Amino acid sequence: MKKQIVYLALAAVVRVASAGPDQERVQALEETVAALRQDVVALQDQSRQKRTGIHNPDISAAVDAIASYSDAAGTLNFTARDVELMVQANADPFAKAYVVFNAESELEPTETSNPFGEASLGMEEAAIQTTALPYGLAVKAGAYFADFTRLGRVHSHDLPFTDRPVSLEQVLGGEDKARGVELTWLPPLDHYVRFTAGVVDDIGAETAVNGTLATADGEEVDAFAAEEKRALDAAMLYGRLATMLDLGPGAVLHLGADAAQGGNAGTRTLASTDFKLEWKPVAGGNRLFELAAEWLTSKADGTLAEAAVIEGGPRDASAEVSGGYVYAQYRMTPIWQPGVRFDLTEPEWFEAGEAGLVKVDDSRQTVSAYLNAHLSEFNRLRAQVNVVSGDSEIANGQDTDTQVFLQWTVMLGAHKHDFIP
Amino acid sequence: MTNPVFGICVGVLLSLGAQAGPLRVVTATRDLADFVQQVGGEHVSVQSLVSGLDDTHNVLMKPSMVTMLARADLFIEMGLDMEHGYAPGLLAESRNHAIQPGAPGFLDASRGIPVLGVPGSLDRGEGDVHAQGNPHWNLDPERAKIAVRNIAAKLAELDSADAAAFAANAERYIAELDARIREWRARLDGKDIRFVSYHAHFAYFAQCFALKEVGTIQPKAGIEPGPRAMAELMARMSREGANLVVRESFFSDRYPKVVAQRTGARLVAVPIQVGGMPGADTYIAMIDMLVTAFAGDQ
Repeated sequence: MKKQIVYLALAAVVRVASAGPDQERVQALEETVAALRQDVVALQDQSRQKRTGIHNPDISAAVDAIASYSDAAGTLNFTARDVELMVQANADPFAKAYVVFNAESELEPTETSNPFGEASLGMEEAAIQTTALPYGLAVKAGAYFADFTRLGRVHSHDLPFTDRPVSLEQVLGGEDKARGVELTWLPPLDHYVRFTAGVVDDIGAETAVNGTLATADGEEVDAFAAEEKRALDAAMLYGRLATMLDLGPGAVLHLGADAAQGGNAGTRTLASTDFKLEWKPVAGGNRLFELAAEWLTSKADGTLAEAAVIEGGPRDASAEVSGGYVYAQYRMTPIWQPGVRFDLTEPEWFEAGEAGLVKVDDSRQTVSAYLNAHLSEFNRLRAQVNVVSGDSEIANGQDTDTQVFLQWTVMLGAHKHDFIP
Repeated sequence: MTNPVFGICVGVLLSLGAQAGPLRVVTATRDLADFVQQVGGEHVSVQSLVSGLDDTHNVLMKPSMVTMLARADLFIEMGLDMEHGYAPGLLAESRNHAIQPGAPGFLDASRGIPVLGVPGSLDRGEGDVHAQGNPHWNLDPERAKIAVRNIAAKLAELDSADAAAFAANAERYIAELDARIREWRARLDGKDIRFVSYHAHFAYFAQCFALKEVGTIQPKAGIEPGPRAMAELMARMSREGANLVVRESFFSDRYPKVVAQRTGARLVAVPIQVGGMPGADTYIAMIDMLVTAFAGDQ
């Protein structure tokens, strides 16, 4: 097509060059140029339409390679932690859907990984979302990361640091994995507020997060028995209220509060509150300062599982654990971004009838420093050091550990920037 | 029977969302907001998502942007993926179906604009390429005239009663632009300006004013330069007689200063959007500032 246009142009030039007076030739040339410009524009418009893959979903992938070393355990591990494939597209004018496949290996610096082990491929998320509901409403259903807490809904490779904070692991169960249905509502106010409510089978990558008991022979068992059938009242209900405040031309404050109750293995009651401050210097290019914190608490009540019942002991019990983190990071140049983090998990307390209050798990504190090198928007190197301390053994009889991580994360394919309150 | 309390609540919420008056227009950039104001006059109220001070590739998404979009009748973007870092996320969160891509209240202002720099292949080995071509057409006032006409047509579509006013305002503004383009070309004529910039922002500006773009400090889009890339750029500048280093106002002057000092080229800082620097308060003022900086008239 381009060749045809060039031939047409040459022919037109030859034709007008052999014509009469200068004025006519100039006019003819102007008409030809105008016609050619229209052709070029039409071609470009057609080209643009062809490039939007309306029948093919967007596909993206993340590869997250990590080397970890634990001083206490003396272990060096190489992990492809989070190999993720995401497919998403609009289904029709009313809904879109996405699926996330994940071949995930656990990041456990104090354990020796199996060099011949294979990550298991699984479906991390598969959800349908409405796109055309009125009154600021949207519904999501399927398996998804619930809109619950600040970092629980973030995929591992997108975390600001290499490892997920221990507090999130212990209190929430890691990521906000859930299966169910979620409704969000944006009321028509001048001030930005978002309400979320959902009903799911449970929240968390680990279904029985708190209430792990050590029996007399040292074996760890789940304190609360999972019911064989899920009763209607065992579904977990959750909600989140999120708002954001403009604090001047380059600063935004995010605030959030969450609550959840339900569960099939004891009744879990979760609550959390969080904030995040973003400050971008005016005319500062890539520069961005972030300060964020979150505090979570979880309580589980229920009937003890058979394995957890001590002969003659109580049948009902409750377990409670709290924890949180705070981090700050600064993107000082397009490439460099240092950060620090403090993470605290309080001891888990277990109350079992007349047996009284018993501490069943140790507290854990982690102080971290990390440095990101953003080679491009899709290619990031990270070095992180954790200094971990606790009430009990972390590895090899030591209650402190220094852990070092080197992480290389690459994103492939389509990407988008969601608005996350 | 309907619960009266429920009915009142629904009524209050609906009334919060409803507002009579001029057409509510939200634009991605202040350049577009200026065009809308010139064309729409008193018949529109217009707000821009970004201030002009920020790199449009790195915009901090703010809650006020969502509420702004939630009530808009029309959203106008530069197009060509210029706003891919913030507009799609904000539009989705606004849940305003009237202004989503494809809806009547959405306008890609770049429609019909001849595009430069359309990549032959879409491979991120070439950097963070814009799949549809270079999106910085706003720095070419000739192409801006096409966007102004696009805006006039869209405003007329949404507010047919004032269509004649929109068309007349657009033609008046385009005539003003034509007069200024003649003046700007006269100021740059014969200057033999050969320049490098930080990012490929000035391809359209160079074409409009017959300037020579020698290269960019970023060796590929979105990639910071290493020592080898810097050395290659300076060698090319020497070979091709580059005499100007242009730093976009939001980029660090670290690399531009080095390049200018080692090559002897003149270094200037310029806006690439309306609002990008003090004094660049309108589109014409912004282009005038650019012409002054390139011509060395300061």
